[in-house]
Amino acid sequence: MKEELDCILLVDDNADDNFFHEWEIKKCCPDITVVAKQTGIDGLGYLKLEKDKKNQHPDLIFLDINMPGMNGWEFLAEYNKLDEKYKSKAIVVMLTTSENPDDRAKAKSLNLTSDFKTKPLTQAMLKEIKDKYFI
Amino acid sequence: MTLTITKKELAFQNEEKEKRAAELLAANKELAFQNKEKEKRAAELDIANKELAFQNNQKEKRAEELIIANKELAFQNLVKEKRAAELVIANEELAFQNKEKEKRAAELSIANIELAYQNEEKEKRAAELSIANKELAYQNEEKEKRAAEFSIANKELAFQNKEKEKRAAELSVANKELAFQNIEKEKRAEELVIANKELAFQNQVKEKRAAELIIANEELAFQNHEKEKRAAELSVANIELAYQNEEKEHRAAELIIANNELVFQNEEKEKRATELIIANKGLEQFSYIASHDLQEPLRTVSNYMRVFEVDYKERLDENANKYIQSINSAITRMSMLIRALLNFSRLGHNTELTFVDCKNLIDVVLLDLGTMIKNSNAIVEVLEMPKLNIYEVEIRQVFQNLITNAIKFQKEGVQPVITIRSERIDNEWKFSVTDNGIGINQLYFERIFDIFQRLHTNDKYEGNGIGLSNCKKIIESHQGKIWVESKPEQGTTFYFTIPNLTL
Repeated sequence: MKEELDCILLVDDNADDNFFHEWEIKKCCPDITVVAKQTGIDGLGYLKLEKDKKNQHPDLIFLDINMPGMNGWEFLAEYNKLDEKYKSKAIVVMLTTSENPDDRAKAKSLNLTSDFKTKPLTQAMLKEIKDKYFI
Repeated sequence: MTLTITKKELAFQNEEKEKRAAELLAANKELAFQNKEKEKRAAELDIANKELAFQNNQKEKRAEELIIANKELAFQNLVKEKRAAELVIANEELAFQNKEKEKRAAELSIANIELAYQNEEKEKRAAELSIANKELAYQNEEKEKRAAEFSIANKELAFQNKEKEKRAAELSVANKELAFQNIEKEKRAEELVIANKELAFQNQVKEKRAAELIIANEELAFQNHEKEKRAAELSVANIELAYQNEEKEHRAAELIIANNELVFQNEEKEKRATELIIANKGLEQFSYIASHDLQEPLRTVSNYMRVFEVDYKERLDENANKYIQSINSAITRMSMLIRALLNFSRLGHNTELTFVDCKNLIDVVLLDLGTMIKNSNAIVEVLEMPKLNIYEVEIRQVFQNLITNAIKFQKEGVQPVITIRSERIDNEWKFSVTDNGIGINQLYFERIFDIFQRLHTNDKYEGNGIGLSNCKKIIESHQGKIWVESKPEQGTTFYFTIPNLTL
């Protein structure tokens, strides 16, 4: 059931957050490939690419909700229409504030996501997710 | 012998014959006398007959006179009968007019009762209006929120006033009608008086009937007088009613003005309330967005500080590392403040009341504060607690804040002893949280509930200055009050009330 975690896709319009999240991931697990995309469209585009050594299929997606253009919810709706082979093992929604009850309720009702966490991504968080969904 | 007897017989017979002749002579003489008497009588009879004939003549004359007298009597009887018939008709007419008058009087009486009833209705309405106005005034002072309902009520009042005006106008018309009817009655009464005089005149002609009629007329005249009196009284009553109607119209008009004023004030208040609601929503939105958006750059700063700290630690000297620590603690504190601000702005969004056992609720809080209680070695005693309708999450936060404060603001080396009580007072519950801590100077009893107001430096007692303002906001959203009683160095008791709220 459980697979190895080799590649993570970050979908977040905030380049600083992408940088820091990648930095944290690399600090904890230097072997994991991190792909960062700044829009939902680019994220979906990456998922649909022919995969080779250079373009690895992501096993885990960290998704930001507040993005200009296609936001996280719209990304999830489009993602859900994808062929199974393009999907990932888990999606973790990254909320900008842990207290936002609306987003939490929405994330729960959509039932599309595996988890939701509050920014910033920490090594402890990554470890927890890895233990939950991967080898 | 025989001869002697015969001779004697003869002698006797002669004697007898001579006697008879004498008797006959006497008889004749008697007869002649009788004839003379008869002749005398015949003459007397003749005279008597003549007398009789005269008397008969006289009698015939008398008989004719009697016939004429009888005819005259018969004629007089006819005339009397005619007059009697006319009187009967006149009396019937009078009786009919009296009945008509009685009917009119009855109608007037009904009309007056109707008027009186309408007046009572109007007074009731006025009283209701007055009550409604007081209610309105009271409600206005009460809540801005209710303003919308008031407006509807005022419109209803205005509508009722219009109805009242209509009623008043109808009453006025009815009164005019009554006045008109009274005038008609008076006319009729005058006509009746004339008719009665006419009748009285006719009655004088006939003695017996007249006497009866006079009595009847006097009775009628008396009744007319009575009716005139009543008509006059009714007229006075109508005038009085008309006056009262005018007064009521005045009052109705005044009430309409007052209502219009109230409606205007309500509209103003509604406007204000709406503006306030909009402003409040705007403020909440603003503080939410502001604090939400403030978090992001702060997080970025924090993230880069971490990158800096980890990746460049070895290349920095001791001072640089100290500065980084200071920056980090400032970031943490700012993050905490922003989060508190965010929470504060979101308070009051919960509109769902829940029936909660406060004992259980406090137990959960104590469980959450387990580490803090253990570390401070605090004793927390929870006395009897009610079950009531509250915003559960918010009240939990109140208890958490008050218990945390009670533990936090403690004299060094003293074991915190905290007692939580509840008490029912009339229609609300009064809760209290008492500690044996450092206490609060009376100067600050009000200020401590203001947002970001702190009495101590962060070095001494940690805090963000928002806990008690949160408590105040929460208790006020329950329509309760929160206050403090304290003596420095002896301890503090926070009190708050929660009224019975309906789900």
